[in-house]
Amino acid sequence: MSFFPLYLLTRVMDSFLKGRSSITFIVLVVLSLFLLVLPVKLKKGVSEIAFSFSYGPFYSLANRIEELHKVHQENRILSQKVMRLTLENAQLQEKRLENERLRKILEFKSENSFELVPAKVISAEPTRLPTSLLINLGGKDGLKKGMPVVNINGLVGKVSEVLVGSSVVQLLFHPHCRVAALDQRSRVQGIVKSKGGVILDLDNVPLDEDVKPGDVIYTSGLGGVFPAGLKIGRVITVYQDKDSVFKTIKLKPAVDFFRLEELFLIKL
Amino acid sequence: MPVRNLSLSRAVNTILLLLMVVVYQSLFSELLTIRQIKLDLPLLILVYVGLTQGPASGALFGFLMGLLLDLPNPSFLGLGALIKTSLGYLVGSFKDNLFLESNLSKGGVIFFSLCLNDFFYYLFSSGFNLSYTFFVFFNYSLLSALYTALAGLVFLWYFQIRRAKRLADGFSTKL
Repeated sequence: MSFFPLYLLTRVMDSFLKGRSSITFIVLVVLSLFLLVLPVKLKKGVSEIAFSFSYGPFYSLANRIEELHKVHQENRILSQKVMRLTLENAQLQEKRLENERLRKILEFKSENSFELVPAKVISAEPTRLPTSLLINLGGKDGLKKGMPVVNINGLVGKVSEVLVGSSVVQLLFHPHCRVAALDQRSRVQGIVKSKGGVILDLDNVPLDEDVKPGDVIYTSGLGGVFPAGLKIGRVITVYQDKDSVFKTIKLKPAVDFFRLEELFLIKL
Repeated sequence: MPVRNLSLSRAVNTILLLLMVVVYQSLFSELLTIRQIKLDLPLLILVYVGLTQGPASGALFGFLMGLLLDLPNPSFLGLGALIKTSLGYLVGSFKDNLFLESNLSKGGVIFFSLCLNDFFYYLFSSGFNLSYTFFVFFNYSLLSALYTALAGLVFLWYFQIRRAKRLADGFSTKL
């Protein structure tokens, strides 16, 4: 026992001489040597078949797992990309619409003989139906009280208060707003005012005057506040009340008061 | 009947252990590799089989396992089988040996088995190129043998603790 290699040899010989295990060992060694000396081509063929049965399923499982992992990572990256592109797209759409609006504004400016000062809405009344809003120009920009305010669709209102860097615009929906108006077709005159809601009223039109639904109403210029030729709206209904001497005429405004962004002030 | 059952369960055990070798080699061997130092789980299993079942089972298991491990490298089909057959037989000779009662001795057997395995494998596969054999042996095999031996010791201690716990629970139940 003191000399380990000798002990080892004794143990091995001991096992070797115990019949069954030594026979097993010899047979297996011979088999291994036989496999070792086989031609390489044959060995490759046999190995391929045995490999596909033994390792094949596990390697394909490992590949599938790796693929799934790659797909999962790719999916995460692509999701982030989609999110980024969606946001970019939304911004680009916004820019496109702004571009279209500005193009129309440029056309509008060149068509009009008025001197127009562009302005932007900075805030509106926080109510369902705003009757006034704030724009980004004020006294320092040469604004004056009473200046008419329009956009490319028509009359918006007038400047009611001038501050240093901003101004308050009184919209057509304001209960105190009055506009001298004219039916473009029949040349009938009246006064446009608001009695609440999103519809305007054309008042002071006698019962025998010719005003029909579909007629376009413009400013007449007679009030001294708004110049003539500014589009106010279109007639939608005409009532003839027996107890009244005037017709009840309802107008749909030409301007969308819930989408006001770029405005113009008319320098008189 | 009991003898047949014992043979059957041994055969099933052998198949399961071989399956473990295949699964490990194909799915997990890279995961347990630290900077090109591999954990040789198949050899660990061979030592376990040899020490618990004797030289005949060790040799047979070594042959089958060696053959399986030779499949990815068909040019040397049979070499792994030959070396592992011999190792399995050698380790199996130490079954029930008092000298190997301690875990450290068993760790030593694992270490030397791996060293022998790698040395002879590289020696034969390189066509008896000693410089190549020694280069690979000293740069990779020694560390691999140490890593595997340490892992083997960890497994041994874990299973011994579990066995002791089970015995203690059995004792307390009887009392």
